[in-house]
Amino acid sequence: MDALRVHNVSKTFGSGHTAVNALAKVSLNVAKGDIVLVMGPSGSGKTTLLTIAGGLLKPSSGTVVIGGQDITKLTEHQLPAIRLQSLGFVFQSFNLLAALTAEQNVALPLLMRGVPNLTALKQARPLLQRLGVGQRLTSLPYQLSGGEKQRVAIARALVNSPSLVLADEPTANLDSNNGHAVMQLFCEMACQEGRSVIIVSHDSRIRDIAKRVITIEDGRLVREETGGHDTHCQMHDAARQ
Amino acid sequence: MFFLARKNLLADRTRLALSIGGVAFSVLLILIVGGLYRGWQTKLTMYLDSLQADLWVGQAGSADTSHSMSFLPATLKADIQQVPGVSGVDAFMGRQIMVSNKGKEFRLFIVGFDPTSGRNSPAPMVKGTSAIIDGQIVIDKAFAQKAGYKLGDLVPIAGQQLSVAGIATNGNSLIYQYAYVTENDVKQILQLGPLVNYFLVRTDNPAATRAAIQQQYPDLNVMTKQEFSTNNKKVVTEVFLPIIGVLFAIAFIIGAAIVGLTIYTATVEKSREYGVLKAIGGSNRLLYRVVIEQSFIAGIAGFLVGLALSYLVGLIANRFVSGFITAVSGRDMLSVFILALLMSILAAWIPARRLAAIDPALVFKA
Repeated sequence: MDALRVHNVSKTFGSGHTAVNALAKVSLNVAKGDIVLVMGPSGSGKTTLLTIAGGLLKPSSGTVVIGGQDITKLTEHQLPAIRLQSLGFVFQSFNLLAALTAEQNVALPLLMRGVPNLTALKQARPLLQRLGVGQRLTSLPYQLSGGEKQRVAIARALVNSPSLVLADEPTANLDSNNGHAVMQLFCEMACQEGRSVIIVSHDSRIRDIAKRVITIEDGRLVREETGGHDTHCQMHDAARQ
Repeated sequence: MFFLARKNLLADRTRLALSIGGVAFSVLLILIVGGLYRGWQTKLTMYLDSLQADLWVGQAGSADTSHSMSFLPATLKADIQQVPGVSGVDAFMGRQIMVSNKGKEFRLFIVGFDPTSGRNSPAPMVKGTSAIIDGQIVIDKAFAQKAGYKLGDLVPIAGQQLSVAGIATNGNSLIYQYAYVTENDVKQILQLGPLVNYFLVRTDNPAATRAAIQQQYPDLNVMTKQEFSTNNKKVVTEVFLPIIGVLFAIAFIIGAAIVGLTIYTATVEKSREYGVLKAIGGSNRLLYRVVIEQSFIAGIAGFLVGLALSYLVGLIANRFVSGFITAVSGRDMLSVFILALLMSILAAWIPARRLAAIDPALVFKA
């Protein structure tokens, strides 16, 4: 079963003379373990597609199926549970909560599910260790570098074991090394854990880890190419050797 | 999510202090004003309540010691004694008078008592003795403080110089203070002649005895101890209650407004973070909880600070202002605590509405 099925999705903002068609009949299937890079010029509809796929925005028409459930039919009260259980979000500007430490930020989705505080922190710590920020558990966001913040944000996105991770410009605020490290993390998610990843980005380096690269222009899906994942992903180095 | 509410509040200490200060001020005002009201209500009539009387018998039309006069012939005592159900009768002689000291005028309620038997004797003594003789006086602590009298001083009353032999407490009636002299002196000071002011009747069955006296002497006004006490408190309950109600409402609105404002600004400032919470799966209900918890933390902390402050203010003010009689019961504290929680709920309402309007998609904007 596909992790995500977007079928004939259109989105129009405004109405009448001021109507803007952000997406026009876009269809996209994302399989388990897929890494899909969505590219396109600014204002092409990439982020709109991501927000619709993440259940943060209702499409004007079309369906979005996550884990076999058409989320366009769900009410505003039902959607948060889907986002919490099935989706992980990684943002360009990290969006960590300023008053919380790294481990508390990561524990947050668990706490939202009702996991007790101490148990949530216990589950958050090994994840941060794995992502290489185990020494910054009690640091506040302002004490972390950009790369560290993004790792913490990725840990937060993964802590509930989502089947689909949605990332918006995840490397835009990172230097080359940190950007590379983050890309490797996405490879790990897909290849080791079988999660599906959709990345919206202008960063062409991400092509190297993507399995598929789709291009959106003027709200339409105009091109789909194969990414460089199979040749560049370090997860497959052993197999290649 | 309690820790998130706590962390959000602690992130801006100035705002937290303002928020707690707002509730504390409100609680302080409510407790002090309410405490004064309660204090006046309970302590105003402490002396009268301490007297051995199940019924107060006065002249027709008399109802209390502040607004009406009562004069009865002393010989009536023996007649009342004969009424079925009456087990004892004592005369009560006392009235308000004005005294002056160093150019200032003071109201005193002079009462005659019997130092030997202790009949109508003053409430607890603070200094000196209540075993006085003619020419001596026991004054209330509040009057001593206000007029600047101490033991041994001479108080000029109705042409006599009475020496202060004792200082008592529980005799502050806000408008006047009680002062106690011998029955001989009170007759002279008040020029009572063969008259007394009231009779204090002791009985095992106040209702029946009251009816019996009233039937036999329709020109008298027979009141139960409780009625007489209530009549004397009316000056406070009728005059101050509406004022206190207004002050309560103002204090409540100020407290709720300050907490509301600080929680609202904190919510607006953290709109993006609340958007993040929504985006990653937080429901509106969860967000409301965070805001309400913040509001509750401010409310409870403010209540505790306000409680401590009101105790301190009460303690200090009581030393300098004689009418500052406060009494706060556990029930009053519980009521104010519930009020503080109500303030918090009210304060969280507008920010909670703002949360509902936050679009989680805004988190994708860099």
